[in-house]
Amino acid sequence: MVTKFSRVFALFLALAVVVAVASPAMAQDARVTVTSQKSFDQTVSQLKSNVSQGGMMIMATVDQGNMLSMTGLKMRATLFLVGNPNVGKKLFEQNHAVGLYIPLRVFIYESTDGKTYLSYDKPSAVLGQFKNEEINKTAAMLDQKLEGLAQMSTH
Amino acid sequence: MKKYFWIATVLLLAAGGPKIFPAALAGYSTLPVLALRLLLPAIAALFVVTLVIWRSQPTIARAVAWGAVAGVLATVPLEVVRLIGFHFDYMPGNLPRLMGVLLLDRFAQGPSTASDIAGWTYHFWNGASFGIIYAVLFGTRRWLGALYGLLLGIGFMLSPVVTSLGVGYFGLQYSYGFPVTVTLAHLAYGVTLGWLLARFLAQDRASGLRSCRTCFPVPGAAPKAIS
Repeated sequence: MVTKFSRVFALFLALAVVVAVASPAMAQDARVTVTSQKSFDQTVSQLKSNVSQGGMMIMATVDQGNMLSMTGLKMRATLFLVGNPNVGKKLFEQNHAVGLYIPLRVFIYESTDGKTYLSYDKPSAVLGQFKNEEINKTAAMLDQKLEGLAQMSTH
Repeated sequence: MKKYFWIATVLLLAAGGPKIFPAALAGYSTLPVLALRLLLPAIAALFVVTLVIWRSQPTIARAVAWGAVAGVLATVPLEVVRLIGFHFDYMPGNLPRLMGVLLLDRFAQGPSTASDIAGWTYHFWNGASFGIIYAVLFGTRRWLGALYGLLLGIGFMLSPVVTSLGVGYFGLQYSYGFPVTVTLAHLAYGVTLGWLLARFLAQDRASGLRSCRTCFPVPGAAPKAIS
């Protein structure tokens, strides 16, 4: 009886450890960070022009660096909400809850090491949780679009 | 009776400006909407009312004019203290800049020159508004300005503005320097306001405030008539 209980307890413990270790790893896989070979301003400028070439548009810009200047913090960072209404429509038709992740977020920031980074969450990673074939297909297409956009804007 | 009507009108219009910022942060509406529908009409109406009563109610009209001037000037020492506090990180944010981005509805883009001008103009108008209210209610009572400033500071720290900054009542969750900076800044405002108004109103013979001390009629000390 004690042995059986110990085995169940050990199994439960092992599962808990796996979940605890795997969660940050999955989050790490979801986030893509590309080091830019350009300055912050050039990267932002490139992203703006490349977005439209990739069949998307910038729907909103959040100048977090400028916003935070009101608190006395000096940093350069801008968040872009990018998307395409037609692609968005396909996703929303499947599940309205995708609005939590759509439009996609692309973040460009200058780190303390002086380098500029472009970062985003892989659409397939965040949209995969809906377990919907149509959403997965569109997410895979968006993965490619964002990858291309990131490469063009940072190189 | 007419006098009380004009006093009430002036106080109501002057109080309109400072109210819209906490009202917006409390979620009643947005700052641009409140500025367009309440602040700007209130400023225009106050200007018109002051002109209309310039001759018939000189005590009130002069209190409005000098109160606005003294209020704007008294905001300068408040700003000096506040900026020093901000420099030492005692304040969670630069409030006039925040007012500006909210006024122009550009929070996401952060402050710009235009939003800074709008924010500081609104901040100084608030100073003018409280100056008008003080001049109408307390006239040349010089040292009451310190108490008035302290009350404004306490009122600010208990307002939805500070609540929305997420620093708790009196900003104690942020730093002990916050209530100290706010109190000293408003004390500087109040003391300067009381001192300036005592000088301005005492020198303006037409205001009648030298004899009656406030806009409210005091028995045995009727305002002087304009010759």
